[in-house]
Amino acid sequence: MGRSRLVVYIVRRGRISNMTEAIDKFHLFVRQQWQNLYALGRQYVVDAHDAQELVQETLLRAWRSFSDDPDRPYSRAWLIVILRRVAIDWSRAAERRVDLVPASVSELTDVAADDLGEAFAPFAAMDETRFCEYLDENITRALRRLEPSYREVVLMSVAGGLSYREIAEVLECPVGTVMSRMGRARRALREQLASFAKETGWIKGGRS
Amino acid sequence: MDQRGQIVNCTELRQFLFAFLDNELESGLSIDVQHHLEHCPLCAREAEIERMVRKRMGSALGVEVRELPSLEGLLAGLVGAAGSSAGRDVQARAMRIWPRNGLLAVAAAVLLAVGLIWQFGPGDSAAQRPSLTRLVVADFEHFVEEGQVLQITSSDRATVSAWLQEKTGMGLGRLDQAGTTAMLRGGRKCNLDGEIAAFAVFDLEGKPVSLVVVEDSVIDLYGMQQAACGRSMCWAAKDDSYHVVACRRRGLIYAAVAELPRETMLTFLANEIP
Repeated sequence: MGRSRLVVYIVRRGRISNMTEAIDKFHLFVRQQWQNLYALGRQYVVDAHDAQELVQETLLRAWRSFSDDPDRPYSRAWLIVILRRVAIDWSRAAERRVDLVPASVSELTDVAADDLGEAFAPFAAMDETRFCEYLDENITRALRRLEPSYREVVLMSVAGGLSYREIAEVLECPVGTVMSRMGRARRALREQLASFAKETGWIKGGRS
Repeated sequence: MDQRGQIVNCTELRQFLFAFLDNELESGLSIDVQHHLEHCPLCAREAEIERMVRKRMGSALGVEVRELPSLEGLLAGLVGAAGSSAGRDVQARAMRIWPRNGLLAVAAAVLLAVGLIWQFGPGDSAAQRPSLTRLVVADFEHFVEEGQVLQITSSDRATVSAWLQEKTGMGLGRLDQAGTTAMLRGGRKCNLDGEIAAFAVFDLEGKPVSLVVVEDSVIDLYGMQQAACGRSMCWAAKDDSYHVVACRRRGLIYAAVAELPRETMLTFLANEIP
């Protein structure tokens, strides 16, 4: 037998004693990310309880990879990739009420940039206070009406706090594609808001 | 764009506006956008609308503090689950090293098991230790059932705190009555899951409220939710009809229990533990 096999065993035994260090590193990494992770995860599911389970499952899967190689650099985008995978798995298994099924990468990156120079949907003048009031009442509804692939990119930025570069890392596409997608998503949101303003009478004659 | 690199018309600006508002443009282009906005009232208005939309989205999508799960709970549960799976993984790897030598494989498994028990044994698993919530509620129920017997009876916080400090090494947070509505009745030495703790009882809105003080290193806040408590963070949980609130200060955990609403308890804790 060997001595070489014994050496391999000792090296691997050494790994067990490094597990505590790996756990500490993982804890430190998670502490920096978890609030944004939860805030973004919350957007994929229906309620807070499921959001907590989504994050827990994400962290469990992340730990399994992390513990194999705790010394390589890990990023927030890596965690978000795992979060999205968990949400996709849940939606396929129909075990949870997944409110926003993560779009496929091709849906998110298939954009035509030629309309980005067009004028925004017109919004009649409102004073700032009324406009803020209007937004508070309608922004969530308008977001929910967006196509999922648009909504997800906006949520990654606003709820998840990801930069365009990080979103590009999650989606495995160039930053320019993220920029275009974000532009189209925010225009679509603007159109929804303008449309609500007309439907609900915020613009014509103002609200009482 | 013209040769100077400036954005010269509104069509060009619209391509970059959202990235500009998200601080994602490189500095040269960002300066160009800013310059255009300073000279074009229509684009400036559009930018202002989009700024407000972005800001309101942030507010709408933000998670309230009280909804945030306990990070300790998330991580504690994770280590417990990961410990067993990591153990199985490592054990499986060890077994593959000597596939044909049963005795050596058994010896390796025993050694690994010893190592894992040392690393991940019951003392390290937060999931196997009684939670703070259960401990303080059980202690409070016991106190009430036994007739609310105290070892020191006084409404003076400094007196009770000094007594508790002498007996347990831990005192109360606040030593004066100013700004509080809870009336102190007294205190006693107690123990939580074998650990020495200081116990004080107050009257608040006609009900007894206990305040337990224990060392930070011996108890964790597994299973509690984070909550805002004055200007600080604390933790809250419910056990049957009791609300438990807790905070960490200066190496100690302060936990209050009562059959009072959560908000009342949070205010009590914020007042008693500045």
